[in-house]
Amino acid sequence: MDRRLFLKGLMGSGALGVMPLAAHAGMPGGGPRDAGPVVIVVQADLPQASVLARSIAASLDAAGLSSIQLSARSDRLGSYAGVAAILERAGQARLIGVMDDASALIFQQIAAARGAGWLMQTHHRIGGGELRHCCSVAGMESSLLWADAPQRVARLYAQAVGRGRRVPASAELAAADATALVGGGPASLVSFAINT
Amino acid sequence: MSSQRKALPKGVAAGDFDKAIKEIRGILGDEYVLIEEERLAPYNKIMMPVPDAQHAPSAAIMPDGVEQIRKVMKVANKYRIPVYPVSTGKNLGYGSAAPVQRGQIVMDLRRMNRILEVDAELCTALVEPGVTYQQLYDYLQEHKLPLWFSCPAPSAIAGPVGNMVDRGVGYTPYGEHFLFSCGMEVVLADGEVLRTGMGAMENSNTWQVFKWGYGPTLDGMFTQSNYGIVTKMGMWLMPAPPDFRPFCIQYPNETDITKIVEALRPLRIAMVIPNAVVIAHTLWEAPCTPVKRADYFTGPGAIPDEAVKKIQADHDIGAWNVYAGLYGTKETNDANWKIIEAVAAGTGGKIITQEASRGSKAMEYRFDLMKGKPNLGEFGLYNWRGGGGSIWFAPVSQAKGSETLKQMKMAKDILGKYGFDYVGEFIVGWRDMHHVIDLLYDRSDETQTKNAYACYDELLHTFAKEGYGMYRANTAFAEKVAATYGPVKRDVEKRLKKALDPNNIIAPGRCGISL
Repeated sequence: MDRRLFLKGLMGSGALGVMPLAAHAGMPGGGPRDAGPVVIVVQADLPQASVLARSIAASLDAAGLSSIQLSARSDRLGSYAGVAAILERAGQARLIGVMDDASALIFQQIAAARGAGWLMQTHHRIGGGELRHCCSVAGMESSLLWADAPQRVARLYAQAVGRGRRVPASAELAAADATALVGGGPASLVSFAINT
Repeated sequence: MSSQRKALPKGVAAGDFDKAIKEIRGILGDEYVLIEEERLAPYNKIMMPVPDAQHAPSAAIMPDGVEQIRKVMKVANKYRIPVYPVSTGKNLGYGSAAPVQRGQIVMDLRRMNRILEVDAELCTALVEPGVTYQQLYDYLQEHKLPLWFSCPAPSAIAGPVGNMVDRGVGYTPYGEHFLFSCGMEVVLADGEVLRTGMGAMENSNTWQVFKWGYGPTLDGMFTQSNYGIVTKMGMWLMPAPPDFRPFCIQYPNETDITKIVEALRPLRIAMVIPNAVVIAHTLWEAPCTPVKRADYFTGPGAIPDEAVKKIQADHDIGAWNVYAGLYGTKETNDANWKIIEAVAAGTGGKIITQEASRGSKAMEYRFDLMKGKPNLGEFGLYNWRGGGGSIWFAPVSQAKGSETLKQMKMAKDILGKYGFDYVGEFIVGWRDMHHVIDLLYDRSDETQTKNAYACYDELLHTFAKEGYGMYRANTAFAEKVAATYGPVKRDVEKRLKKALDPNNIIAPGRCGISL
């Protein structure tokens, strides 16, 4: 993926409609993945994950993409059987996960072993006055770092799974949610998008 | 698709690469030759402190059997294209499925996932490289076979062939995994198929029961190397004991490691304790309990000792936590239990039995591993610091208390210098110990990533100066680790490579071996 284009999209300036994640439009995985709702898997016992997942769902909605949310506690996300069951239920779908580092690693490894494609992953360092995101995208050889409000993350995911679909700027994270995310205790969080 | 934007193998022209891919598609079918970014990305997910690009594959291919691999080898030789075989590719802290050098084609053997034979009388199995421990466990359960195997910590998603070939360890009496392998099938670079040991004889039925065959024993050559592609492996299974009694002994001080090792070594050598004993530090236990680092320390640098002490007190975790088990009949275990109690009392340790451990996640996953029940409990380590950075630093030491204390202090000092925590454990073999340290860092933080690389480098060279070598290493440091073993060994390895793989097409650079 072209880094310059991705950066342009990432930094906004009204150019999000031409996000380079549109490059994913050429990727395999039509049929059910395009037709069905996006599955958002969120770690239930991690409050920041719920906040971010809600924001992503709002962005998907604003982009005209339906989504369903599956909540699972960390013990389920930390077991082979638990993750396998979630993937079975998701079927062939565009899936976004929001969870802690260990769960995200386990989830993506099990999904990869079942042939899932990988679109992007963002590591979030949030709370305690810190707000930092580090995003890796399939085909981009280096990660991108930025530190600002988390709503941009939500819009990126909407564009990633929406194959470059335009996301209206109105799909912002509610101010209260942003405060909840940034003002809580320090936490490390991972979000990712895959095609199962 | 054109290969213009691909990470091509070193020295291979784009046109030749495209031709090779076309020919491999003809062998495997389009579905099993991956070059799309989305499909390749999972093979490039690494936890090492180097850029992803350094280990980016050019393609991934998924053969379904020996004949397909032989044909692919012909293509690889023809175009001089290196392939990097992986079984399940879950060797996370050691490099995962990413090739050792940029541009190599990952040969993903996951489709070769057949459990070919389980002999319940002889307690043996013959499996392909794509078989996972979870799959083997499910098979044994489904067939109601009272057999156990030894597995490493990420066992539910990892597999026995890959782990044995990398000389990994587990936690049952069969914990030194390669020691309990018996017979390999290997596809060589020229497409020849070698069966080691008794497997070389036609119609032999002793391939999985007698390791040596006649003449030189070749199996070891195909571990931690790139001389062939292991396509089948025999392994010994352990009869489930009538009585299994796992336990933990907790010790309050870091310096207790000396007396712990001195007390346990005789029991281990005499096989009173038959399994691979683990001596885990507080900070290995804490993330798996789980304890959040941020609840105790948010400042820069390594977590201070006072905070570690507070974690111990708050969560009933020892400075060292010894995990072992008794495997036998009730009568033998009753007798040996008295020895364990006496050792704990004499060394100031607190015994925690399985019954008393209820509710502890850290103990639950350890006790499960000691009976070969796969789980993913140890992944809790990755929440300790967050950010997805992890490299295993794994020097070997003698099983002597003074040695272990020396290694622990050396490691802790160097880690602290770079701002990292000592997250370590010792796994007791019979006379050695694998000292495994998880260098956890935030890979999304550029400074931490640079420091992690420099830290591993200093650990490696400082330990090597003291005569301590690695038992295993991540792919980013393969060359440097190999160099610590001296020039003569490396020269012999190179000569073997030249003889067996003159075109250097199987994983060049793996374990530092290349032409």
